[in-house]
Amino acid sequence: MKTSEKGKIGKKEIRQIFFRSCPMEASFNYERMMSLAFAYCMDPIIKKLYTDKEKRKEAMKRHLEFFNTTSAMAPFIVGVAAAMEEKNAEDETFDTASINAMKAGLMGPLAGIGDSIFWGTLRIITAGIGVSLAQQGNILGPFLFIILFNVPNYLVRYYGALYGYNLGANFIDKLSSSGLMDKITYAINILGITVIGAMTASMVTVNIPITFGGGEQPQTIQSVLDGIMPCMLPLGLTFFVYYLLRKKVKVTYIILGLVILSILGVIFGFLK
Amino acid sequence: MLLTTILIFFIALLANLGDFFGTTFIGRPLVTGMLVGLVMGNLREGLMIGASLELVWMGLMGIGATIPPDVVSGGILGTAFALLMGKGIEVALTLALPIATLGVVIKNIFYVAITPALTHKADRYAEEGEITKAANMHIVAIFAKEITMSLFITISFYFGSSAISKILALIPQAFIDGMNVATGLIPAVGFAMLIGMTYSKKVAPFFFLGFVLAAYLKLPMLAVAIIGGICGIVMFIIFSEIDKNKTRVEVGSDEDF
Repeated sequence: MKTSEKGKIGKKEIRQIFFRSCPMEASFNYERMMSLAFAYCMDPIIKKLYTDKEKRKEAMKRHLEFFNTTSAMAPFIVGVAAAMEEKNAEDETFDTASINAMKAGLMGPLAGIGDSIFWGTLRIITAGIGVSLAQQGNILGPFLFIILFNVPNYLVRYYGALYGYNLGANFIDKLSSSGLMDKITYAINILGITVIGAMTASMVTVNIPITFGGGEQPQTIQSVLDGIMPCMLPLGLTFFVYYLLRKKVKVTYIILGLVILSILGVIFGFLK
Repeated sequence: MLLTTILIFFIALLANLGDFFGTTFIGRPLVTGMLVGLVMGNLREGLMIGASLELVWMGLMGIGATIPPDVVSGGILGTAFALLMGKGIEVALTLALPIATLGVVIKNIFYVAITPALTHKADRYAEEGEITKAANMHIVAIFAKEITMSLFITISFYFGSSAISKILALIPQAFIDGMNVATGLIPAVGFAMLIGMTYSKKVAPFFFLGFVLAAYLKLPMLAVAIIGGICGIVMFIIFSEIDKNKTRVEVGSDEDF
C-alpha cells in the first residue's frame, strides 16, 4: 500500500467532522443553503487527503455546492463524503460526480427522517415537558428541555460521523474489489438526480396571482399553468438559471436579478 | 438600564449562537424568557412568559426552505418589554409579533443577499486554491449574521417597542413581501448549480422522474429517494446482464474461430 504520503482518515478526523459539523445550520442561505457549512467540515479532510493544489481546489469546489438536510443528520453525510474523497485520492479512475450525487441522494431522505425526529417529535416532547414545568414557575423547565433535547442531538451527530465514514469506506472497498464501481456510481447518480428533480419541484416556489377572464370564476394564470403541469414555473426557472450559468452569467447577478424581480413582482402584482 | 442593556446583549448573543453550537435550541423563548427574567430581576415571571411564548411558537418549523418568524428576537424582546411594563403574556405576545417580523426581514437580507455574497467570495478563494480561506467564510457568515441580530435585539431593547413599530412602518410592504417571494425563487440557483454538476444524458430521465413524483404525486422525499434507489438498482442489474452477455458473446465468437 502506498498511502503513507496521502494520509488516511482516523479517529482525529472523525472528531473534526463532529465538531466542525455542529454549526451546520448557522450560515444557512437560500442560494446553496448549507454549502459553506459542508465545505467547512471538509476542509481538514481535503488537506489531509490531497497534497496536490489542483486536486484540493477541485475537492473544495465540489463541497461548495448546494447542500441541505436536518443539521443533526449532516455529520453522517459528511462521513460518507470523507470516505469517498479518501477513495478518490487513491484511485485515479474514481467518478467524482458520484460524490455530489451521493450527497443529494442522502440529504433529502435524511432531512425527511431528521426533521420529523428532531423538529417534529423530540423538540415537541422535550419543550412540552419544559413548558409544563416552567408554567408552574419551576426553573428546571428550561434546563430539562435543553438537556433532554441535546443529549440525543449530540449522540446522533458523533455516531453519525463515525458510522457514515465506516459505512462509506467498507462499501467502497467491497465495490472496488468486485470491479463493479462504475456501475454502482451510475446507480448512485440516478438516485441523486431523482432526488434533485423532486427537490426542484418541492423547494422552489413561484406564484403568479394575475387573474383573467373575470365573471363568476376568474382564473389565475397560476391555476391554468398548474392545470397543464404542476410546478411548471419552478422547473422552468431552474432550467433558465441553469442556462444562464452555462452562459457564464455571474451567480451574484442572477441572485440580484431574482431579488429585483421579486420586489417588482410584488409592486406590480405579478408575483406573490 | 445600561447594565441591563449590556446583559441583554449577551443573552441575545448566546441565543443567536444556538445554531452555532449545533442547533441546540438555547435561543427558544422557554430558555431566553428565564434568562431575561433573571437579568431584569423577575425570574419567575420571565420564566412563565417565556413558557407561554414557547407554546405559541412551538408549531413553527424550519422545514425545507421555509423560515418562520424570528423566534429569538421575538422571545427575548417580547419577554423584556412585558416585564418592563409589568404586564403579562398577552402583552408579551402582542409586542413579540412585530419584533419577530422585523427580525425576519433582517434575517432574510442575510439569507437572500449577504450570505450568498460571502459564498461567492468562498468560490473565488477556492478558485485561487485558498481552500481554508474558502471554508472559513462559513465562520465569517455566521458571526456577521449573529452579531447583527444581537445588536438589533440590544438596540431595540434600548429604544423600546414603539421605536420598532415605527421602523416597521417605514419599510415599504413591497420590500418585505418581495424578500419573501425571493426566498422562494432563489433556491432555483442552488439546484441549477447542482444539476450542472450531476446532470448527464445517462441520468437525465431520472431527473424528470423525480420531478413528476414530487409535482404530481406529491410524494415525500423519502418515498422519492426509495423509488430513485430502486431505479438505480434496476439499471445496475440491466447493465450487469448486458456486460455478462457481452463477455459470453465474445467467448462464444472466440470459440468459433
